[in-house]
Amino acid sequence: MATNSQKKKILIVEDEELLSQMYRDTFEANGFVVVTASSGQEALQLAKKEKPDFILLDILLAGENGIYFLEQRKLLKSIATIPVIAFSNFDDPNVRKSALALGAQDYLIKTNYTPQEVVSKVQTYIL
Amino acid sequence: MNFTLQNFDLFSVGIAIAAIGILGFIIFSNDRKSITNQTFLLFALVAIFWNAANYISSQSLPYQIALWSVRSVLFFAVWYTFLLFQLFYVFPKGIVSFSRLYKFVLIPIVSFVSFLTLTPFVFSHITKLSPEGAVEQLANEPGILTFGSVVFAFIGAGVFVLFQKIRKATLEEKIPYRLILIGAAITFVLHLTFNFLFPALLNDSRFIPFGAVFTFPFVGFTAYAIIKHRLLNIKVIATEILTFVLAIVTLLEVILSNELGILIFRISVFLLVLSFGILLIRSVRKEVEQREQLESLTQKLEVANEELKRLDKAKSEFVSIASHQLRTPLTAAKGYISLVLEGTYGALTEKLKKPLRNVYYSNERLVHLVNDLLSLSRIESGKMKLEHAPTNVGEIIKSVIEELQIKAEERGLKLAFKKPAGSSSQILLDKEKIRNVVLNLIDNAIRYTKKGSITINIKEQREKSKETTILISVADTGEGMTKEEIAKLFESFSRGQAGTKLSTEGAGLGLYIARQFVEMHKGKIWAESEGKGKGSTFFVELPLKQ
Repeated sequence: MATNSQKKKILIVEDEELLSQMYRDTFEANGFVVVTASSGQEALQLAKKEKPDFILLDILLAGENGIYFLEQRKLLKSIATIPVIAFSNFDDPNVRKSALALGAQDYLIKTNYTPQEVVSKVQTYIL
Repeated sequence: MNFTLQNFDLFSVGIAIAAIGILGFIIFSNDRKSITNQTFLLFALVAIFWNAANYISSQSLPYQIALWSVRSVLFFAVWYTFLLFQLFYVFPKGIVSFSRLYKFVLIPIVSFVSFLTLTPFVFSHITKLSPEGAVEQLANEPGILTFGSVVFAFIGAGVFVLFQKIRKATLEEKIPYRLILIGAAITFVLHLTFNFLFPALLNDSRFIPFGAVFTFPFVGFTAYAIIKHRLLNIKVIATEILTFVLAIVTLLEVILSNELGILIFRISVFLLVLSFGILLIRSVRKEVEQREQLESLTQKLEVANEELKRLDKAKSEFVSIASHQLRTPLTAAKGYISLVLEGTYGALTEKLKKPLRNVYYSNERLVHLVNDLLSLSRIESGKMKLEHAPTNVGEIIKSVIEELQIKAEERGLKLAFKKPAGSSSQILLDKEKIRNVVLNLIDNAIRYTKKGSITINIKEQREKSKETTILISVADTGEGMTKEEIAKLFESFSRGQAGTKLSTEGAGLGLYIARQFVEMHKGKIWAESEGKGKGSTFFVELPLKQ
């Protein structure tokens, strides 16, 4: 069993409580330390404070959205290098393009993946 | 001297009358339906009669004719002032609905007073003739007061109406009114000087017959104002001026002719010039109007196009948002069911697993349907674009097989993929879209095969004189299809007969979308079947060089 200090920390940015809980459960079951945020601002504060190893970022959020987070992340040295996957059910070609241009490693449509598949995806990016 | 002036009289009055008449018809033919143009023509015609009567009455004539000519001057003067008032009243409108007061009171008054002037109630007889035999004095009767007050009332009301309009007009609208005022002022001053001051103060009535010449400035300026107000094209105005000048010049020649043969010839030329000129003006006007219509249509089209773009954008946004909203609960359902199936919330009995899997697959169908509808909407609006990246087609097929393996096993079907050696080369294509195509084909094969296997093949095709392609085939041992069914397979919202018989899943969008995606890659997709019960094979051929 990995100790807390060896565990990978993931920040899940998700404003749907039902989904947030589901992904938290799955990532924790797979040995991750999970922090969650429900808006762009909250995600920025948490990212600076917690320095996660990975960020799973929803795009349409209450308050500042995922694109805003990506823009701010680029400007903040302390979190600029944390890998991010945009993870949304909002599938607009322009938004997808912006997210990728702002440094998201991928743009995944939530509904196409089971939580376990998401974990596997994230693991390929961290390991 | 007398002879010269007489000739000059006739010459100038003739020219002025002709000019007024020509202008009247030109303005009228510019827009026959406009009440302003109609009134202008009537006014010009009455002005001609009034001035002609004025000229005739100043000549030496037999007593009865002289009396009637003077009476007719007054008769036309009533209509002249009335039409002057109406012109100011309607200008510059095209349509005016006259009030009942106008139709049933004003016009009867005008008719009554004008006919009154022909009776002895206005002029009973001539009291003095000049040495040359022209009328100098008449016996005024009380009717002259009615005539005078009506004429001055119309002039006063007309000027009042015009000033009211000038007061309310914007700076730009004032221009045509000012033109009319300038013309009216010049005519008024000329009439006042030569028809009133000269005879009254200097006892010189030589200029009275020139009435038509004095009227011309007003008619000319008003005609210009009407043209200017209509904002006619310069081409039309130029044609009108040309016709006007040509008509006047040829008319001059008519007047100056001194032989019958030449006179007849010149009259014919004048009439030809006038009629062809009017035809020319009308054709130029028509051309300009058509061009203006075309311009306004183009403008309307541009507006409609902008509106369509706006609607299209709104539709795209709606589709994106709606599919997002639909996907959120589907994601939760899919996620939780998969977690339950994977045993995250505790061990599951075999009895429970089957119905849960059914729920999971039903949910998957909804997920695919939303994806297909979103794709369809993008394809049909032409917004679907490819995002090329180096991709290994074998890897795509492997990942699809991994995803569908359990589903195939549950149905007792074998999924076989023979990945040939040397097919690991990467080609440039849109990975997501080609994966969608492969997923669709294999998923369909599972759905329409009751027993047996599904075999997936991939091979590079190198042929001389043809570009190198990669061929993916998905062969099943299922229901098979007739030729008719194959023909309809890749069309929107249609399904093969086997589909309706065996399974009613899907909205028939999958293969249509697959075809669109393959064709976007400049590839081909088709199906082959030897007939009912003999299975089907689906092929996708993609060029290696995109």
